[in-house]
Amino acid sequence: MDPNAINFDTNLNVIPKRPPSKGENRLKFIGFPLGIILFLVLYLMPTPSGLTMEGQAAIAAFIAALTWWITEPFPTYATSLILMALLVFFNGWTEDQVLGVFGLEVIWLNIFAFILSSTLVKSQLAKRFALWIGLKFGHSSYTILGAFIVLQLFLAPFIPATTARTVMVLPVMLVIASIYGSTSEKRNNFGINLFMQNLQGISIFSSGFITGSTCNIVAVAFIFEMGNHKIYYSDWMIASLPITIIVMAISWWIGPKFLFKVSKSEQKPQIKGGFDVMKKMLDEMGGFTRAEAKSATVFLVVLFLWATDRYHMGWVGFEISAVMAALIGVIVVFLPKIGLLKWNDADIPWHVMIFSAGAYAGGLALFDSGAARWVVGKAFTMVGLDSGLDFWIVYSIIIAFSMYAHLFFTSKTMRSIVMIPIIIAIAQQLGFDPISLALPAAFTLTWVITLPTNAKPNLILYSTGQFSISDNLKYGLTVATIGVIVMIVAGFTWFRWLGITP
Amino acid sequence: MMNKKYHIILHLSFLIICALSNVDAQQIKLIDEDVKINDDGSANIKLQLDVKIENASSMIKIPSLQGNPIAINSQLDNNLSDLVINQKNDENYSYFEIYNQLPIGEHSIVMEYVLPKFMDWEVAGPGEFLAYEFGIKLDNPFPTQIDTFNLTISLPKGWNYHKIIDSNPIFRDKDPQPPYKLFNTDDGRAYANISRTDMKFKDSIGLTFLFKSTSKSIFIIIVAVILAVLYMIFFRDLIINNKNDIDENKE
Repeated sequence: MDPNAINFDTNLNVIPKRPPSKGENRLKFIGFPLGIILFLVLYLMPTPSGLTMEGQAAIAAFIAALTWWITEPFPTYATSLILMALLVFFNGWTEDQVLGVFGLEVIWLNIFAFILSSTLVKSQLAKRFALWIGLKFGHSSYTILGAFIVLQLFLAPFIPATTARTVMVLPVMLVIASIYGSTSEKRNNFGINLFMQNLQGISIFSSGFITGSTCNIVAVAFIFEMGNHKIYYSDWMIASLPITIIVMAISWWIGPKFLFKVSKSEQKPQIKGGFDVMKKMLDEMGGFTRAEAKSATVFLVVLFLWATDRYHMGWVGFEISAVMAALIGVIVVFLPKIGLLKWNDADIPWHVMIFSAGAYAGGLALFDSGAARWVVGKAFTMVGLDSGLDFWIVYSIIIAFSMYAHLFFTSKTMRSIVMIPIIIAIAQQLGFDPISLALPAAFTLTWVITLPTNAKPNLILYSTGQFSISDNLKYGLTVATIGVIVMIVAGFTWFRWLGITP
Repeated sequence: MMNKKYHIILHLSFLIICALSNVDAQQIKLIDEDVKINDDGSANIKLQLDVKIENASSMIKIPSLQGNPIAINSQLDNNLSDLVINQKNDENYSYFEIYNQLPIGEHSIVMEYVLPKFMDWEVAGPGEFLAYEFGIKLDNPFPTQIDTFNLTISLPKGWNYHKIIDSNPIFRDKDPQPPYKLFNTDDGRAYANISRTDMKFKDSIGLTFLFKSTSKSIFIIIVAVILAVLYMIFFRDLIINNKNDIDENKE
């Protein structure tokens, strides 16, 4: 690859053209009728006991959309728009609610995150960092993939906002992927591994710390209020962090080795002239420019606000939320003379925003209509968890269920609100210590790694075109299953030693 | 202005009198009220009252639904009784007065009655998407605490709950479970149940909901099948060999 061909600029708003494979075409062909059939069956069947008709319509629309997101008979953003229409026309959610999703904090945070990310690209700070990291760790694909995983592990306790972590590393990842020959138009297995492992690292390492995500804090509150157990920061970290490290280490190993095998040629930088050229490019950049300094300052201020959110109340009397911190940064970068960007420089993938809006509308409709609660309660009853099973069977079922539940319920916090009280109630009903089931289940809440619709970072990373939905599904399901196995083994060993499980 | 003040004073006086007449005279342990709404808008109501009488001269007063009840049948401790029951409708509250002097101790009273014109279909709807809106609310206008109040509402056959708009007790987003439950039974009716414990003076229990006919148009199936077939025809090239396809084996 010619060094000049390396893409140091992002162009996320343009959807890359990539001819689909035969398998993808077959999926497309059956996907649409399959979605229609599922919708009709779920919508027209008699409303099950305990569910509202609104909830039934929301489930039908969401399952149809989920089928279409996976099989892609339409582009993902079009499926999101169809989902929004289905929710309104079949009365699964109101028009105001559906359209209101675009004004939610999550969408604004995504927009601001992309703008901030654009400053790193425009100022060439991303290029400098990518070249540096490439030279430092890029001697093999494994070391560079590992370096990103360690970076995510390091960032997780300091920056709870997963979107922030994503935006920080995204431009660097794009350049590194490009150096290794993976672009949105012509992706290779190195790119898939790089993006998938970061997607997983961002979510899974959030499970290592109570403060890694709001859903962890909500779960701990429920365990305290309903289960009478106080979980301290260190309790959580000692129990969960080793699990996350083990699973990410396995993911780092199996991805390039088995799932998306990185060929020998892909293991080295594709750039003609190799490391010498990369070093030359870095040298040519010279010292830190004014633009880079500005960009780094803005980013560090925003990061500081993101990382210190719990102290804002004491400092200024109110909490500067993640979205407001990003807004401050965005205002600065758009200011004439002081700032860095003009509107045309801001690379915002609007198709991803539409995709997100649809996904959130579907997820929120499920929650708002009570359908999410109903499905969780029904699933636990169906597998007979209330009929006095052995602890380890109950434990394994709950871990598996809570791990895979993210496939259907997009919000981690909502899953925490819906599932943890039910799990505590089941534990109490069966005579087990609530902590023995609820805490390990809570450790899985942030593992939102299977579909782009599962979480904000996934959507942002998906917007790069470096992996497909089926790549995400394949890698995500594998790692989630490994996670279930590791959690079950930990239940017998590590958690037992820590006194969590009996 | 004077009228409003006068009204407030009168209202407060009424509540104080009610309060004084009931203080510690009885303990209402349970009110279990089943409201079956019929096709014609009337409702069949079955109310079970478990009460502990602590003062033989006391009169029992319990909240009731608004309306003019007819055909009141009652049972006292599982026996047919001649309880004297009157309904009073204040501007804001309705309540039953049971005049009989019951012996000190615990008693169970069951009342069955009909409320004609309980739900006015024309007022209820149909609104958007042919949904009907209706709400039931019962207030406790007396200082006697009701330990548990269960309210069950069933819709006419062929109708189901579309959405619970409001409930009392209120359901907040962060509550682990809503205070109400929905269920269907073999009689083909859809039920909603809401409970309140420790229902104190001026506390309320109730549900406001949207409900719809369970029948769904066959038109949806026809349109969906046509769309699926058209898609398979127009996009048949997806499974017929296409020059643009990437052969996975060669990749």
